[in-house]
Amino acid sequence: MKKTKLMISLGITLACAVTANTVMASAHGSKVVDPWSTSNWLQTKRDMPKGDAIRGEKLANDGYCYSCHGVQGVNPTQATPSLAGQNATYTYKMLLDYQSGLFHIDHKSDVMIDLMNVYNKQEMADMAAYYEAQTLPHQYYAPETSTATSETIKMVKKGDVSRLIVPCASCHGAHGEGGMNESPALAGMSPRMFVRQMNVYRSGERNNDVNSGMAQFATDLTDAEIQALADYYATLSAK
Amino acid sequence: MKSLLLASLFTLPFLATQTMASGALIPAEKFAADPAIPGKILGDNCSACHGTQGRIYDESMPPIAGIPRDVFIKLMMDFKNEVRPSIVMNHVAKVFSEAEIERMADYFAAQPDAPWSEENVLKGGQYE
Amino acid sequence: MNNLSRRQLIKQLGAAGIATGLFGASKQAWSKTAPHVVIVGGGIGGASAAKYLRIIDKNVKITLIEPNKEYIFCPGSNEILNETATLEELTVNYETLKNRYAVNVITDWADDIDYTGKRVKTRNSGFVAYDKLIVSPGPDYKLDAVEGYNKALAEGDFPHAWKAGAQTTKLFDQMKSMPQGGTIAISSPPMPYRCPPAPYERASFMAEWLAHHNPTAKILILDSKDGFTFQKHYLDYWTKVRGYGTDNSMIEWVAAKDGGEVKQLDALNKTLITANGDKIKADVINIIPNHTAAKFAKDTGLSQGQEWVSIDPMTYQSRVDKDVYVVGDVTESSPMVKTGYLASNHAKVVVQAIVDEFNGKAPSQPLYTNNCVALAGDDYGMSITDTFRVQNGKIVKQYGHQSTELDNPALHYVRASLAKNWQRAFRRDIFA
Repeated sequence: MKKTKLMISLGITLACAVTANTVMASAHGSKVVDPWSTSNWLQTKRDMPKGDAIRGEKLANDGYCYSCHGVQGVNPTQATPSLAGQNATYTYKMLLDYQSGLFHIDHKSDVMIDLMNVYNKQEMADMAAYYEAQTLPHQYYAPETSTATSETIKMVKKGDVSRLIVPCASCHGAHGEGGMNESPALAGMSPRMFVRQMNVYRSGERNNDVNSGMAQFATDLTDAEIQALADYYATLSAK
Repeated sequence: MKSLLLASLFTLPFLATQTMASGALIPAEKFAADPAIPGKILGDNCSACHGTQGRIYDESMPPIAGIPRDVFIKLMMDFKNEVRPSIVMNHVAKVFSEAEIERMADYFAAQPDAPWSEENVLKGGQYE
Repeated sequence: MNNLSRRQLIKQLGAAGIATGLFGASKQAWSKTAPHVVIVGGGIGGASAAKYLRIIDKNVKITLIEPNKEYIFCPGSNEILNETATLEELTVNYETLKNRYAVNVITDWADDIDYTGKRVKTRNSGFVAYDKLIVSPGPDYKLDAVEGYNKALAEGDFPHAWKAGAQTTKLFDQMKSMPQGGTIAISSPPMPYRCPPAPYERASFMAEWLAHHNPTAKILILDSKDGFTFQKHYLDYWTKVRGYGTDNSMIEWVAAKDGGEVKQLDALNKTLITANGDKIKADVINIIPNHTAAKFAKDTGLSQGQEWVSIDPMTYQSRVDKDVYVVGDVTESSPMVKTGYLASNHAKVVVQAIVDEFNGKAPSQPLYTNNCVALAGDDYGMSITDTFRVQNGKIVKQYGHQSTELDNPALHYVRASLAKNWQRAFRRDIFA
């Protein structure tokens, strides 16, 4: 399995190499940001400071994070993600990617990019630790009970060998709780957020994944499969 | 110029009292005898930030079209009661009565959950 | 004239029909029984009225009379001065209103209203008959409130730039070509004027630009008031980043009670003379003029000889004629301030009242909010939330709040970002 993934990943990485830079448009002009290489990311992850959830809570409150992400990181709207229960490494990496401007999809991203002017890596790790310590969110936009078909469950648990798609669970956890590394928790993610992220991976607007680790699979999935997966993960949320 | 500088320095201690600023809140209940404000009129006050009919999807203010009624009510009541503090919305929400928030919830729940830019505005028109 | 049928009226006013045919008539053919709503002025108030009227009534005929082919947003135009926006970004035209909202756009001046004939006299396109008329002409400027200041000077070397456009660019160019260590003098007018925090935002953006390009320059704000909106924020920000209150401050502010009010311009010597007789020579002089109702509102008697146009706050119906409504900065709407946000909300109430009347319904109870933003720098935003209700025919300020937090850089960044998001959202809410 590892081998397959590596092969796909290499192939896609080569294909993407030409367009691999993200140009960040901002009021201050355009900034070109290099995407992550495996070695850069691994080093960054090793250097990630140990987060302190108590300090993180204060930082998050002083930074008014709840204004968009909800009290204790549970957001009842679909415009911005809930952060509660999210894998700290993922949150930390996202904050770094906002700070560098690598993650810039549309004007919604501006707030986080501007905001990250004021935080250092220790503070980012602290906030990430705080949110990780919260319970994965209840999802308002999910069906009451799972409507997932056997095909969707199969995609999650077994992937699709014919299209060289690895199981979602191999990175995101058996219950969507997030992976060992920077793979985010998906349980309780709003379906719209899920679909939107998959679409920007497919279009190449989102390229902050290391070695196109997500984009390579997103491009192979159909619209219907993505919607079904979005609904599936939303129903895995806390009740 | 120097005298001006001195003059303006002099004003510093008095600033706090001079700011043309905030008025105390008159609770919505004080207006309860007035006719009810329809949900649409209440909701159209939101469009400058949340888009026409609450249908903006690519700015940092969230879309509110099609938002489930109970989610909207919970959000607004939490803003109003400072359960969910906020940068702007708590000050927006605290002027409304619960009944007004419910009428706004009905209005936004009934709006199509799709960008306003996709709306065919003239559909349904009867032209000669 | 009142007794003429609509058909006879249209016959008599053939010129009006031709005018709409010539000047951007929409593709729709309108029912002969469709009521005709005419809007004078295609700024924020007028354009909001056109769009929001079409949303709630697909069958009404709408005509917008506006002399300019393009509209340049004033909200966001101070950003020309710290180079975070361009005039192009702030410029919209009337094509969307025409094509998407089926609004007839007549590019012409409206000169007068024939109340008994229910028609608007245009300068070059004849008369335009209306069933309901919405007037949104904005303010005019009383340039001569500062002795020696006039239109020629405003269009020449002393731009007020209080209407976004060529004067804004001129002001920026003047700042750019100012010698190192030069002085800019800004005269801030008495209330009421459009966008109360804008003179201070302007000074802040100029300071931001100068800090990078002309760090020894000075900005002197000569005020006709003793305080201003977001004063706490501006003074705090200027203290922290511009040395306010020290000998080396880039910005000085002189309140009216300290003699700050500007009385006279000596254009030849580039000198302002204040209430206490101080003569201030400056390299760049920016007189933000006193405001009054637009000439159109005065010429048509809508202002009834007053500075501003009195309206019924329930519907923004004029006091002069029941079929004429007036919105935006031109109205006497105190305790509301004059902002685009409020103008657009006046317009939404008016069009609802008009459609309700077409349908034989009483007008609805209104609510007006002014939830607005301003900046002190590219990294520092502020917000205001005002709510107004109408009780016993009077406008009551139910709540007014200005952001208060001073020592929270994260929050200032978020508010600055929100302000920029808001500007785009607001433009789209009116013109897209």
